[in-house]
Amino acid sequence: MAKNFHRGLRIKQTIIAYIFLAIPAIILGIFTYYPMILGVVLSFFRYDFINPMKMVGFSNYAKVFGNWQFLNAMKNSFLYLLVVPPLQLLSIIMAILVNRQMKGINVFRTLYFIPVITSMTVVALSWNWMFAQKGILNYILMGLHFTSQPIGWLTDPKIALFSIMFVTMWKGLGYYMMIYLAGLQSIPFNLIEAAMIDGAKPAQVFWKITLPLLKPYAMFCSVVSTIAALNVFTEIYVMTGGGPYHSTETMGVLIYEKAFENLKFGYSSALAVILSLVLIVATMMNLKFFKEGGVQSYYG
Amino acid sequence: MKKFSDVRKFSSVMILLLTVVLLSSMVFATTTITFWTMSLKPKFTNYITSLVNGYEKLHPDVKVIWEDIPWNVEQQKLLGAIASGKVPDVVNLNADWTLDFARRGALLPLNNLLPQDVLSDYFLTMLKATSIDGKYYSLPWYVAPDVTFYNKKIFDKAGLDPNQPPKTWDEAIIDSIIIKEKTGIYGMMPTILQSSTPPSFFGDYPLLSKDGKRAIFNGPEYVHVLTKWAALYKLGYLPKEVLGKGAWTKSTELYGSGQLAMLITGPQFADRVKWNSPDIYKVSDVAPVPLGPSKTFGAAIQDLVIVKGSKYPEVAANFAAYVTNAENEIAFDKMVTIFPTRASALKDPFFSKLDGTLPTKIRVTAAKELSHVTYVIYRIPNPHELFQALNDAVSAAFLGVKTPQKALDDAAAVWNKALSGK
Repeated sequence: MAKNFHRGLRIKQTIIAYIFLAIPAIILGIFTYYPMILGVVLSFFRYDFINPMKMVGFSNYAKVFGNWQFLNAMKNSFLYLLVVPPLQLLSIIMAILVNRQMKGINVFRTLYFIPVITSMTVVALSWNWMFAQKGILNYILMGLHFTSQPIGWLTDPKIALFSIMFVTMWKGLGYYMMIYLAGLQSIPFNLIEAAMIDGAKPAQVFWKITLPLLKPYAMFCSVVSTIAALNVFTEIYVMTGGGPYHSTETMGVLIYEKAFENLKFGYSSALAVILSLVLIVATMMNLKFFKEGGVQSYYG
Repeated sequence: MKKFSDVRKFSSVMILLLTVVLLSSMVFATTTITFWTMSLKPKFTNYITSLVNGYEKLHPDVKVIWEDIPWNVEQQKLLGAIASGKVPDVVNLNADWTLDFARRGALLPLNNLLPQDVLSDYFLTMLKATSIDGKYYSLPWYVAPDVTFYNKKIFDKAGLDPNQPPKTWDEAIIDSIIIKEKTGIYGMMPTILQSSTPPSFFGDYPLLSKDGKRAIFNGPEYVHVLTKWAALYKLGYLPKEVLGKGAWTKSTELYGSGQLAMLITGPQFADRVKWNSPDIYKVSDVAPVPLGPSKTFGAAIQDLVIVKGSKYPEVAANFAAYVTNAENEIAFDKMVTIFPTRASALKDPFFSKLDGTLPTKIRVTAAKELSHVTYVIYRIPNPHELFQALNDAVSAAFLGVKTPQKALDDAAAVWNKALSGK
């Protein structure tokens, strides 16, 4: 009797557990997986949301690879990856700087984090004014005689992309700093203490203990920032719209332009599928690179 | 016991109320239409509500549901609505989007939905701006023809007569060079790159051959015009942001901060200068927009369209005509510096009477320009992509990436390929 009761209870609990698991799975299915699958399907069709869909096979993909705009956007997206290493390095340095017990340290942590919670549109518009030909940056540089002519931060095709990269970095620093800070605070102090007793200098402690133990955090930050860099859209759309002369047009901007300005949703989906494949490869490379490390590697 | 009787009373009243509401809706409002406006809330909430109430009063059997959609998502929302089959009946779109949706077969022509005498009261050029094969796809609601604001103080400083602003583009170029040389301030910053119209300096020239099958904008006169403007840019007589996103916003900001002598833009932006830079506004004057040899130019029009799939197209068209009738247009135009699209509305003295103040001069100057406004419809596939190719040619020539000839040749090749259907 008791056995049956327990069995019944277990089945009931299992059913309830599955129901709870099913709810987010259904929501994910509707709002994430269904659009993803539909996106892949759409890439084989011609569709403008008004007229009926027309199957075109691999024609969208063939057009993509023959289009200079795609190659240019892909090049710019890869160039945007240059933002990842300095972003990670600076975040680690900032995390180390704020990882100390001193009066007012929370004020600095908060100050560094404020750009993260500020809307990207607001950030991009503000930097747009600062980067303007007659903006404050040129005013300062010309005032200090660093340059005699205003620099075309967003109007010179050779530097516009790098100017926007700087904005991405400025906004993202606080986010990654917080993650590294959490990582630093999770490092067991006895490891550092033991090394110091053994005569290790602060630099040796940093290179041999702190950095390897931060590796799992670095992996997360690298994966996330790589995906964000390849997907970059808002700051470019607001600041330059991809110009001048496509010099800041990345894959995210091109996908948007083809879908919502040219109403070529099939072609745009093909671009999105290709970008997704690139993202998968980039993520796998990151995971492979950061495979070793962490506290586990010390304790086996 | 008392509580129970209260509940019963309350329930009876509610049921009665519900019955009355249901019955009255069945008796009075048998037709419901949805009206989308573009970013008019909250500034014009009272005006639009009064329009809706006014129409419902005249037509007790019609209920109008008004929704205001932010302009930056309106296109996507309309696409979504069309795809889902639940479309709004009357939608406020700009002329570019109207043409785009009409070309794709998403809008209903108005020729058979409204009487001819109603249609003939609109300016024909504006009706034609969104017509295809003689079918009118929109009722123009309001229009904003560009005017030139200019800073008299800067003109004076540059040794130019503040009472003689440039009348043609060539005069504007010469004045800009003089102003930059004498004062270091930029003369003008026209909006050169447009998303679905030719670059402003090509406004006088046809882009296609007479049979419409070939691009002709890589001919010598076009190369000459592009070379002239590219030289202006390279020599620093135009702000670098002229190729950037939101050039028209930037030009208003530059003018408001006293760093631009001439602001060529819609008259409604005078208000922005007035609020943000009262000192600049005080030394400003207004003149008609510089014209090319053909003396014509385009202007931004806001339209009302009837979406295909509307359950009540006749009612929707009737409502759109009501919103755009002379009386309602004049009332709207008195709230903000915009202009009517009906000839009968333009006859109102409000658009012609000068009282010596700048706002009146702006209004009268722009109203007079309505007769010069011309719209050219390009029968081309994928207009956004093709105009992008033309804009690319301009950018490439300005930035020195390509010679003007090569840049226009490349753009013409893109057009010709699309025109040949390849």
